[in-house]
Amino acid sequence: MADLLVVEDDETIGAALTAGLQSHGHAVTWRRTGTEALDAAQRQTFDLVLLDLGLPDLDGVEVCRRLRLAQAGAVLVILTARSDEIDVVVGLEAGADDYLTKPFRFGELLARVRAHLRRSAVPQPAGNAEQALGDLLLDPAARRVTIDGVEVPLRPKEYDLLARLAAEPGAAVSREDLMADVWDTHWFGSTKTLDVHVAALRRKLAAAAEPERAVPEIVTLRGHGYRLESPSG
Amino acid sequence: MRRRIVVLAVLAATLATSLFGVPLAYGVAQFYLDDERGELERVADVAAIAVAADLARGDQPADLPAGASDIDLALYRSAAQRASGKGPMHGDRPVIRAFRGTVASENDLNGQLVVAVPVTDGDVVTGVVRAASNYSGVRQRIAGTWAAMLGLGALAIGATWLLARRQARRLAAPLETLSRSAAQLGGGNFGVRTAPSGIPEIDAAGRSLDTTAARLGAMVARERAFSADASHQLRTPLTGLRLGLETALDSPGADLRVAATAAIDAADRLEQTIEDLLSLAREPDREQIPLEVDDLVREVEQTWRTVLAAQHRELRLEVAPDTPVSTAAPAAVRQVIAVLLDNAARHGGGSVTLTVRDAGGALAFDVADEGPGVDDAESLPRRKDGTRGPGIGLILARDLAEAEGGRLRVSRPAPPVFTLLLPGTAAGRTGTNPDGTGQS
Repeated sequence: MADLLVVEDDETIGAALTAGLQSHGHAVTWRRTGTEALDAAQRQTFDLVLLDLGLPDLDGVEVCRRLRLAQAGAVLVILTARSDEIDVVVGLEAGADDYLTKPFRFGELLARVRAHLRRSAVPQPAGNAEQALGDLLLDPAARRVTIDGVEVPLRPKEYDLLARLAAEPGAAVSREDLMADVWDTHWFGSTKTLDVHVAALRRKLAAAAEPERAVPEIVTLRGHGYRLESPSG
Repeated sequence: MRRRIVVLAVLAATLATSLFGVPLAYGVAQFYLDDERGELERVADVAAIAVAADLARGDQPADLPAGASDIDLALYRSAAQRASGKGPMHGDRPVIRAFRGTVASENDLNGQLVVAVPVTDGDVVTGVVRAASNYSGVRQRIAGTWAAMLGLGALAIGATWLLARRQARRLAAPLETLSRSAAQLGGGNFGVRTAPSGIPEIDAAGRSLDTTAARLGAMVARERAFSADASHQLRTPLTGLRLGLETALDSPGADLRVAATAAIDAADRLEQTIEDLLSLAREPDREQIPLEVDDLVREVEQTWRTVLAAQHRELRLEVAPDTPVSTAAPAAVRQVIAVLLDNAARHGGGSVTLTVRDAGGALAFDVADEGPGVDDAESLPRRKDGTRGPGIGLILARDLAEAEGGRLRVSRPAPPVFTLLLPGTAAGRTGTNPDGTGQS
């Protein structure tokens, strides 16, 4: 089904993850150190990486950052024993797409892997028509976003998130709907992943846009969700 | 400490007394000499007037008028020969000089103070009156006064010493108590408290020590309670889990699936217990003052714009609207940002950009410059061995950030971006989880 890289120094957890994921039809490469993992990432392309942050040789966040560079297309999920939320943010800032806090249930892990590997259920506009929001152009066929002709480098889930919000511009979209449509209907645990993706998306849009460009803005609706505000004029 | 205060005070007093006393002593000596010389000149003048008429007529002058008993008067008609009175047979240096028409004096001529006054008739010097007194008299007067001054000075210094000793005791005693308390705290006595001393600075330090002791004490107590609680509360379900699995393995024909399901339930309960214990052990309350990002950025701008402008470099500020609220200590955050900007100013190049933004509920500060960056991508040096290059300041900054519950990372090695992440509070975070499923 999919090529997975598991980076985990703990024998018990590593063996259990490998066996469990293989039994669900995935091809699993298990590496026990950061150096070995980076080595493997140089040789082969993976669909998804499960990365434990507490590695014996290298700083886990640094491994995460380099894996992101080496495996631009892979979904990076970090596994952390530290329940400190800030470490999760650090990992997500370093390029991870999602995280799981130990101890996690295997079922939860499987659900996450499935959610990340499946194509998004974002409703596509009829005929894959391009959608313009101010100076921003959404091209569903190529899954590309451009501002005034310049491409905004978005990660797949960031694109899905923007497309989902753009499907109903000006309307409030609840967190549950966003999670269900962009990730998975049966999402386990925290929706912090959503916050981080929204933050990253906002940052990329702001960075790509010249000050005078009209670019839609993602508005936070506290306690509810988000809304894409079309640029005025 | 006490000795130092006393030595310092006595030294200061000695210096002050000397600065004042030495010129005064010199002045006093001069004053006495001038006074004595004036007296001699007056007596000599009187004598000169008395003999002037006789000398003008060419007569043998009458006896010199008797002056004070301690003054010797003599009349010379020529430099070579004493005419009358008491003095050296041959005129000495002042006498010779007086024959040239001016009053002459000498301070210490064979132990005498000598003044010679010319007796004139019109422009012609007809004789010289020499007045002399014993120099030792003046010297005694000077010595007496000097002794009195010295005595007074010694008295002042002595008084200073006494006062300094008293003050030193007052200052040192509370500091010594404070030091003893700190030593006790270091030794593990968290019940230690300092008594107020009445000196505001020392009391402030004492209060800080008290707070530290109280905080450490509470923390250690919590940790102890946690360990005790934890071992007890974890052991029981663990025993159950082990027993269940062992019996399942031991009994032939037992349904392992049932045992495994039961074991998973037990593991769930264990996990919940760990969560509960951790939340109990966590520090309950620290003053929650929101960090004023705008104030902070303004301060940073005031300090660093000029520093960078001096190198012809620009400081750019980008503050995103609606940033998450953090309760990190402003002093720590300011310090970390100062270290990052200093690092950019020293080792970086081009313009420097400070960005404040939302990082998924956490507050992020990015400091970027256009320099060559960190060559080793292994982020910040982990241990204190990296003293060369951009080292020690960044290590301290990282420790500071972690003490505030935050993290300091190199988010891009070249051109370099350093990122300080601070945890946001649930109340002010953009996009709070409505379902409360946030993993804590």
